[in-house]
Amino acid sequence: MFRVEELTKRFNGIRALDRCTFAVSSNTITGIVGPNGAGKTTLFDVVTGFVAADTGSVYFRDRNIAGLPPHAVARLGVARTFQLLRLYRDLSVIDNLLLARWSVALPLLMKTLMSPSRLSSAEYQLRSECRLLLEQVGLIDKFSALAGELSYGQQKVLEIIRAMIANPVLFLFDEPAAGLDPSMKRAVGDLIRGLKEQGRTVILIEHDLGFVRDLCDQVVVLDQGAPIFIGNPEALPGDPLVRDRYLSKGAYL
Amino acid sequence: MILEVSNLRVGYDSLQVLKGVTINVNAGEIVALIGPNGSGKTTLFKAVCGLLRPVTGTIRFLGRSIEETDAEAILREGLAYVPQGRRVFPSLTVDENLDLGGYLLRSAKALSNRKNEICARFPILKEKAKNLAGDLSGGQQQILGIARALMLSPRLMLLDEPSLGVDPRTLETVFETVKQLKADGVSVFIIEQNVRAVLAVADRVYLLSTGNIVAEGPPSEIEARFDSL
Repeated sequence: MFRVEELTKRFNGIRALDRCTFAVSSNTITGIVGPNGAGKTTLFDVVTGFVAADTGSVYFRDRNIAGLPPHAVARLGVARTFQLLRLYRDLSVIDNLLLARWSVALPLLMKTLMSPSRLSSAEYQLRSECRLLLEQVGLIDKFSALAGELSYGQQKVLEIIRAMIANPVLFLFDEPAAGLDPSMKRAVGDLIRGLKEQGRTVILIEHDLGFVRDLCDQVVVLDQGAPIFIGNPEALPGDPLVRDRYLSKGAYL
Repeated sequence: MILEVSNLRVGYDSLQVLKGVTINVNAGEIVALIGPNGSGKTTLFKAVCGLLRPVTGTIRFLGRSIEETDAEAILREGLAYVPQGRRVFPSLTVDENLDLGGYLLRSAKALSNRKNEICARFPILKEKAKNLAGDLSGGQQQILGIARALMLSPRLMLLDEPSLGVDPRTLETVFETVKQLKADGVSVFIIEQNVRAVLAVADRVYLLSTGNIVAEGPPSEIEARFDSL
C-alpha cells in the first residue's frame, strides 16, 4: 500500500536519502531505525511533502504522491508526528484534538455547519472519542489544561493521539517512545497495536529497539540514506552489517 | 557539597509542580533524577539554573544562595544547563554554536583551545563544523547541545534527557562523556527516561513523583521501585 522508490535528497552536498527503496504492506507496523543522520526524518519529510525529493517516487495506494504539498498528503489519509513537538501551545488539550479532526475533514465541517444540531452531535461524538483516548494514556485530568503547560512527555503523547484523531489510513510516528516513562511507553505501544487491529498501517522511527521488537512486523535499517537491512526485527541483532554500522556493544541496549 | 536544594516549592499560576523538594549533589558525583512524565523533573532543573523563581525554599550552589540570582550569573558561577529537546541555533554553523557556548571566555586563544578539546571528544562536531546546526540530525544536535554547555568548563552540569533521539552508539558516547566529566571532577545532575542507561553510570538516584521526592538511594535500590510505578 506504500512504497518509496529510488528516493534521493541532498542538502548542501550531504546526501540525506540515496536511492532509498522499500515497501510497506497494508495493516502492518514497520520500524525505521538507523544511526543519527541516516536520513530517517528526511524520509518522513519527503513522504509528507514538507521537503521535495530531488528524484524518486513515493507511492501511496498506487498513486505517486511525491511533490504533493503537506495538506494534500494529509487529506489523502497520511498523518505524522514530529520529533520536536508542534502543538498549539496556547490552546487547551481538547482544542488541539478537535482541530486535528476539523482541519482534515473539511467537507464534513461544511455539512455540519449547515446544520447546527448535526454540528453539536458530531462534536459531542468527537469529544467522547478524545476523552476515551486521553483516558487510555492517563491524561484525562489534563483535558482543559493548555498544551504548553504539559511536560515534554505528555505533549508527545498528545501529539500521537492528535494524529489518531485525524483518522488517517497511514501513520508516520517520529520517535513515539522517546522521552516517555515506562507506563506511558506501554500505553503508546498499546495504542499503536490498536491501530493495526483497526486495519491501519504504521511506520515509526525509533531508537528504542525493545519497543521496535515488541511492536513491528518489519524493520528497515537506514544507513547513509538507504536501507542496509529489511526484514524481521528478530533477525536484526544477527545481521553482520547492522552490527557493524548501527548497534552498540550492547552496554546500553 | 556542590548543590543543596531544600524544601523547594515551584509552580506555574495555580498549578503547584514541586511541593517541597530537598536534594543535594556532592562534588564529583553523578546524580540521576528519574520519575514519570509530568512529575516536575524539568521544573526542578529550571528553578536550579535560575529560569524559574521558587515560591519558597532555598537553592545553594557552592555554598552560596542562588534562588534570587539570574540565570546568566549562575552560568558564570559554573552551573551549565543542557535543556531538553536540543535547543541549538539552527541557522548558525556548528562552529558558531560552540563559539556562543564559550562567549564568556576572554581570549580568542582560550576559545579555540577549548573548542579543540571539545571536538577531540566529539569528532562529529569537527567533521560538521561548517554545517548549519539545523542540518544536523536530531542526535547530532543533542551532542552539539552538550558540547556547547561544556565550553565554559562548568563545575556542575544539568542534563535534561540527553538520550532523547540518539542512536545506540551515540548513546554510548553520551554516557561515556558523563563518566569522563566525573573523572574530570565535574558533577553531573541528569534527568533520564532511559533508566537502565542512567542507572549504569549514576552514583545516587532520586525518584520524583507528582512533585515529591519519594525515594533516594543507590541505583540498585531505586530500579525496582521505578519499575513498580
